[in-house]
Amino acid sequence: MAYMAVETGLLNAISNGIVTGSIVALGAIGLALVYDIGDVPNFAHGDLLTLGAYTALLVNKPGTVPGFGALATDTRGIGIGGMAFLFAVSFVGVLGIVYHLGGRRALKGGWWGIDAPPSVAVAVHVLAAAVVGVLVVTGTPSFLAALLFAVVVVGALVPLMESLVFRKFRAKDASVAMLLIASLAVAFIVRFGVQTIFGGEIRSYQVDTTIPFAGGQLDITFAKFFDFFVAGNGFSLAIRETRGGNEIPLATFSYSWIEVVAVVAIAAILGVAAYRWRTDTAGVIGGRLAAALAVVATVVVGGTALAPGAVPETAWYATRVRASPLRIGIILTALVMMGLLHYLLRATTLGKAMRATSDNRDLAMVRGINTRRVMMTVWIIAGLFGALAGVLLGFLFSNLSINLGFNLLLPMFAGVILGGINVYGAILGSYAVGLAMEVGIFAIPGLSATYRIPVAFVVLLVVLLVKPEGIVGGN
Amino acid sequence: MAVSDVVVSFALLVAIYGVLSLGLNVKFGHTGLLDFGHVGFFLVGAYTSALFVLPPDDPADFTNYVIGFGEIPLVGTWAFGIIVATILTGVIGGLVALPTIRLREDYLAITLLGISVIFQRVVQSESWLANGPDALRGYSPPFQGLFPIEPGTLVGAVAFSVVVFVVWAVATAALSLQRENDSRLPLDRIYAVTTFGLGTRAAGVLGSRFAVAGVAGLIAAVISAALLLAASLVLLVGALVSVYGWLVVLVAIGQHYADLDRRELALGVGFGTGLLVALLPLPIADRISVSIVGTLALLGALVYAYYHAITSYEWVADVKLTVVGLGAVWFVGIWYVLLPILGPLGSGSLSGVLGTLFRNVVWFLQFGSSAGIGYSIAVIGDVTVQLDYSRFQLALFLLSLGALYTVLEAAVQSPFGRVLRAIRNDEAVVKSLGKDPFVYKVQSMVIGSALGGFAGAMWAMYSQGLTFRTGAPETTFIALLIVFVGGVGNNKGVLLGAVLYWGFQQATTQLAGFFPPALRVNVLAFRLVVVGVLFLIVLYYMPDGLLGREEYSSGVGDS
Repeated sequence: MAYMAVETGLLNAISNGIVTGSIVALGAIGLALVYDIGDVPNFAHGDLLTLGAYTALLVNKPGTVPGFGALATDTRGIGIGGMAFLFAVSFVGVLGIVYHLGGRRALKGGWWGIDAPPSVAVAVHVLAAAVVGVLVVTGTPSFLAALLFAVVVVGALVPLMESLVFRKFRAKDASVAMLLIASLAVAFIVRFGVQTIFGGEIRSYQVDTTIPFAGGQLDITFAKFFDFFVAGNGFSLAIRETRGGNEIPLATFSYSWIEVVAVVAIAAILGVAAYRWRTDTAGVIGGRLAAALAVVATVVVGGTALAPGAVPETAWYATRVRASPLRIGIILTALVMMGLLHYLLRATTLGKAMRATSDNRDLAMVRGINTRRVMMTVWIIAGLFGALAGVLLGFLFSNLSINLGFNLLLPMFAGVILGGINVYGAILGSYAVGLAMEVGIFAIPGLSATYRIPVAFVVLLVVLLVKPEGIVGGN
Repeated sequence: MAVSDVVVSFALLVAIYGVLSLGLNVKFGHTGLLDFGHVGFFLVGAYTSALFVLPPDDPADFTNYVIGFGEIPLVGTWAFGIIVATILTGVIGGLVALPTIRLREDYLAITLLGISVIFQRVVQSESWLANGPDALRGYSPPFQGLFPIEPGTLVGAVAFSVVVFVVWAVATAALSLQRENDSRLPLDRIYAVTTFGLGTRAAGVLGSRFAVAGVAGLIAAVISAALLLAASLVLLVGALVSVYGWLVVLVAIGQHYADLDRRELALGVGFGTGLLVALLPLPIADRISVSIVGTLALLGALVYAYYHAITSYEWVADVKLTVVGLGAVWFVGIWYVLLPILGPLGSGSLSGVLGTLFRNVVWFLQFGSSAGIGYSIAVIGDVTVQLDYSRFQLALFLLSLGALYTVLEAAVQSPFGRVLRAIRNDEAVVKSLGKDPFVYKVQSMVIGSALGGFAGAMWAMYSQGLTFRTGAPETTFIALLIVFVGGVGNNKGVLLGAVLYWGFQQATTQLAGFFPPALRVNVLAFRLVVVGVLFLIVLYYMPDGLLGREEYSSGVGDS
């Protein structure tokens, strides 16, 4: 039986768009929080991504970092001095993040939202810092350790922007234009600060991309083909990869139309039910999220249970999606991080304070909410998420340049403004922008990949001109 | 390269960025439109003007561009190209403004940044348009063919006298301003001589002092052209013009700091000397780490001492900026006069010392080139001098800058300028008076963008090669910095800002020369960090800049 040739198409562009959207969203979350609660349209946000991406090099390739190379044994190995340095920086980084939340009182548990003895709080913080330090040092030079290190360091550095720069300007009643220009100056400092240390050459991470998986080896950057077939008797999906010049099948899923209709119907019913059950509750899982989870769960369970079947020889429509485990991992990472953020915003005292401050800062202040702590939280989150996005971007592109983050600034702003300058809107907006970028490049003939960012921008321009308050609404 | 040549290339950049920043000042300073994409117009202007002077594309070679008007008479000239570039960028600025100008301040900034990025991407990726990601070269700046000058020919004499005209007119105008202050020098008599008697006798006929300066420059130009044609007296004319320039500069410095008492003067000189000492580890230390750490430590100590002084002593705080200014002037003076002769002084050659001094004093001419005219001077020995192209270009640039500045100042003080400032301050008031802010904002965008395009054309002439990096967003940032340093909405301040920014750039470029080539990227990046920090300091402590907002008369009587 011959396997019919399948070309990539719109679906592939959409899947690329979701990957791009995930990275844009990770960056845009911080940008939106700072824009919304901190009132700073932060032009330095793109360069935070750059900062994160380059910070990871200290762990991933310590020998190539100028100055730090003296503590390294070779390109990737570090001596005892280097280990001590990495441990100290991670340790101080974690405690620094806590310190930003309210100085010494925060270290004694002031931000916990529950009453705990100060000694316990201090012990917990120190222990957490030590654990992070040990994880970084023992994990060196792995990619995950580098990621952790970058996230912690940038998370501790970024709030300094608020406390050293923007708070002072705000105290002088600076106009939005002033804050904008100040953020541009900060961007300059961050970007060329990175270049001062790392020089002009293009760098890359060294990552062991093969991981043990299901008894075999899996190269996570190696593309897998997901071929979708729509035929008279049903719908099929074949997962394949190229090995030694030949395409070999990995797995096949096939469904008759009755099965498809049944799964869709059950998913719809469960979704509506879940929505009714959870809507109008203030919990972590609201109506829309519950419905989405129910639909996803039904499709996954039904899809695996009804899988057996073969690929049809002819199909009305067949399309191929190229995706590597890395790309899927980026999507999943973004989803997990968004879940954590959602939990923080919905279920913790800090999150509630953030939402209250976002709605009305003066009212929140009157009600006794520590708006300064909220502000610092916002910047910490911006740093954490920004560094994560930067490192993932550097890994995905397999090279780091000084303009890495700045190039993503416009798509991030597009996503944020599209979403009406709030976190949830920004996530939605970022995916819209990511999809527009990839589908636009695919759909418009003669448009080279250099035009990704202009496409994102055109989307933003159209939205601004037609509906300046963003697609989600609000103010 | 003689020190004067460094100053000339510095002044060229000041002129270009002066025009660019004047454009941004029309938008942001006068009207309040925050254009983060100003560089887009710079890019379009540069490429447009270059395409007008390039010959038609030869498909056989490695460069590709869409069209080249260079061989069409009249159209294929710089004059035509620069006019088209200016008009085109103005039109584009207006078209961009039509849909976007109603947006909120922050949205407008993001949108305009995006538009400039699009311009840059188009130039970068469309290889048929203007050689894509590679540099667009193959054109020469205006009148370069006349150089090196043949002093005996009419064309050469005219080119030479154009430069004389500009220098003489500028110096005379400056002198006429200084004449109003008290001075121990016989400035009135000098003024009478350098204006050929016009300044004292014909002032009433000619009207303003600027008209007098222009006519005096014209006379000087005619005389020098005659001298060149008759006797090829290049060195004599060059030396005369140079000395006149020095006189005006020194008198200006003297008058500017005349109010300082002894201890304030000493403090300023001490500050400049301290700066010089702080930089000493760079040329002296053998190991690069020692020189970096030493310099940074000494600079830190200097900054701390300055900070300590202005916070502890009231009399220092009163003159804190003046002291820095005087220190900078002192520093530049030592750099210009003293440092170049250290080498010959060390080897004990008197003729070397005098020769270097002479070369630096006669800044009007370039020394030591092969194409010049040879002279033999007592003690100094043989010299060859010529008027090089970059000085001629500088004269053209300064003429353009002066003309644009004059027109802009007139516009700013006109009722039109008053409406723009009113829009910046409160749009509702403008509306209530029956003026539509939208129309004025679009007009402001047109004018500002056109100036950006003009500056782009100047950049095309200066750089003689364009890449898409010409449109890098950093350039907008620098223009914004220049506007803020001098004073938002203050055209004179913009020029001062351009001088200060490029002075800093030139100084740090020279310092970077002390580092090994591998480290130069890092050093040049570090100076941009310093620029960013200085910008924040200016924004925070002096949001109105060094010169402050210009107070223009309201046009209503002061009764």
